[in-house]
Amino acid sequence: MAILARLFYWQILQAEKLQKNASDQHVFSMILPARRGEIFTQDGYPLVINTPASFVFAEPKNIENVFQFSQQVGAILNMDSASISGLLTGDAVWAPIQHKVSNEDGEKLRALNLRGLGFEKEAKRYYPEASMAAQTLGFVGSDEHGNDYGYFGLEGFYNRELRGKDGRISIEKDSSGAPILVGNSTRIEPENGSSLYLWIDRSIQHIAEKKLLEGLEKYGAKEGTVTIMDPQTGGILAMASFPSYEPAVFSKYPKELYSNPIVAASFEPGSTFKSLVMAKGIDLGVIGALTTMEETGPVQIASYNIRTWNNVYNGTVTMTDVLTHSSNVGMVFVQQKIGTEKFLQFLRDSGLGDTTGVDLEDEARYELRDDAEWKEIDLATASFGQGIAVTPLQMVRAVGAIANGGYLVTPQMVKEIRSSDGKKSIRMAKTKKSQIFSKKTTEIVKEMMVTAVDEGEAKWAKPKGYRIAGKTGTAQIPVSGHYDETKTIASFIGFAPADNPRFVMLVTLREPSSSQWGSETAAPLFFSIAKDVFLYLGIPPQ
Amino acid sequence: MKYLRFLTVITGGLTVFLVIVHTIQSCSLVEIGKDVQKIDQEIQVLELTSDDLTSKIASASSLTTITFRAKEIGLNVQPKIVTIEGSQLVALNILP
Repeated sequence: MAILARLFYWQILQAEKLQKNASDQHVFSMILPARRGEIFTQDGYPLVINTPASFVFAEPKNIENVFQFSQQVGAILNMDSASISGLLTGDAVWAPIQHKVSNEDGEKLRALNLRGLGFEKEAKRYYPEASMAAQTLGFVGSDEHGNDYGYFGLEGFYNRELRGKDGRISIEKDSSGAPILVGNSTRIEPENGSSLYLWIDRSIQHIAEKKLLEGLEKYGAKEGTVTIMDPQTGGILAMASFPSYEPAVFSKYPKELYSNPIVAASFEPGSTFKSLVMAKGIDLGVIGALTTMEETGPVQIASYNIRTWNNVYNGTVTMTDVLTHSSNVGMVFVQQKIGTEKFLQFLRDSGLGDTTGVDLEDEARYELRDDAEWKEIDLATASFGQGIAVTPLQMVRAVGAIANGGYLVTPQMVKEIRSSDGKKSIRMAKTKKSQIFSKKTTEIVKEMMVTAVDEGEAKWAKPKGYRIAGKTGTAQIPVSGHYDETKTIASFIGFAPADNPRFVMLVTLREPSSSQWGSETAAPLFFSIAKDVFLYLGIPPQ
Repeated sequence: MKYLRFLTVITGGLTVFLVIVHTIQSCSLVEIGKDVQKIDQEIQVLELTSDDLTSKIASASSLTTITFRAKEIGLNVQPKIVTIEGSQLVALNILP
């Protein structure tokens, strides 16, 4: 009876625990980590790939001399030896020292042949083009469990697709630790992460970054962005912004640099917004390219006087003249013709107050104020792009509608997602489109913008032989509730070739010191980039 | 009785035979297990080598490296692009 009772105890009551104890002794389990997907440009060049690295750890009980150990390891890993010593105190049998140690440093550490120093292989991100498109790519850090996790940009937005799914192996082993292919063994293969193929073109991105850096230096600007989009598909061909950071060593840079100002920061578009307001006026039929107005002096709205940028008034002017000479007074005339309700509806239809839907994690949403809060002066200043906040991408998207026949497209970063085995390929759905201008309107505004380039303030910088539609902008920067006249954001937005636009581009320069005007800073930079892009795309002069 | 003895011998013999077969099979499976482990390790090494080579190729073909090499071999001056307008004569146009 006692034997039966004991057997019942071991076989039934303690069965689960004993099975676990036994399996711990003879079953070998480990996680098979999934490889993180890589990121390529549309022409197939890698922007982010994986490279072998090591996870370096210590077994304190096996270390002979903690002080010497910490000194030697710290010198190679660029770590404070005191912090390494701190990890090695106490009863810990195992202490992590550093993840993602490069192969080069790993070899140096191995050569030391230190007792108590261990290595485990792991992968780390490698950026062959260094900091190219850093704020667009984002970076890989760790989550709360110490696993790789994508933050910001594409790494953040597509973290789930890129990271894949870890596998698991569980197999019985013999006394020497060798696996036995009998009994309970399971092997679930990891599903490696998918790779992203972007719309970004490596050469166009390089041109944009190189020229932007040169421009920042030449014009003494604090910050700058260049956004280039295919107006037909919404595919982003280049996104450059400075100051930036190196994603491989992101932790060495201030956190403020991590988000992409092209989608996360707003600015007042200034006169670049005029072409959109003009298009709405023409679309509604309240004005035409040859409609005239009397520009005899400043226009008074409530207690404010609105002047032209140079305080010069040209008498009877057409709407084309208004755009060419960037007349604020003329734009107030257009806004008043459009009317309050339709003007506010136009702001919403143009995508202001909402996100563009681009596939980047850090896109911010800047809401428009309620309709009831718009005063007459607000409507007037909004007509020439002051008092409203837009992101550079919102502006590119809206002006893209003039370039593509009136359609507001959803900008896209990723063109295709390919599974790791290359068998499955998901081409991203075609961009959603909503028509905000008629085709006829866009043709008229396009010609007005071509004239604005050919006869406007920036005509001296335009590449000869090309028809480029564009508009300069110089917006004052609001500081503590008022505009600082000495600080401006200079910009130029346009598309080319005007008759069959291959790209729409926006250049912004914050606080240029050589000149505050967009026509003397952002515009020549735009044309300089456009000239190289024409050559690269093989677009001859007309 | 004879039949019972025969059955006992046969069963005993069969049991011994099966034990030997199982032992041989287990040994062979252990060997295969070791082979599988070895292959897994080799695959891992090959993957790491492949990653390493991919990184080196990517690094060598990056625009930064190409620009640096181009400057090294003296390609410092950007050529001026000459465009010919429609009205200008080019070689092909002077043929009859």
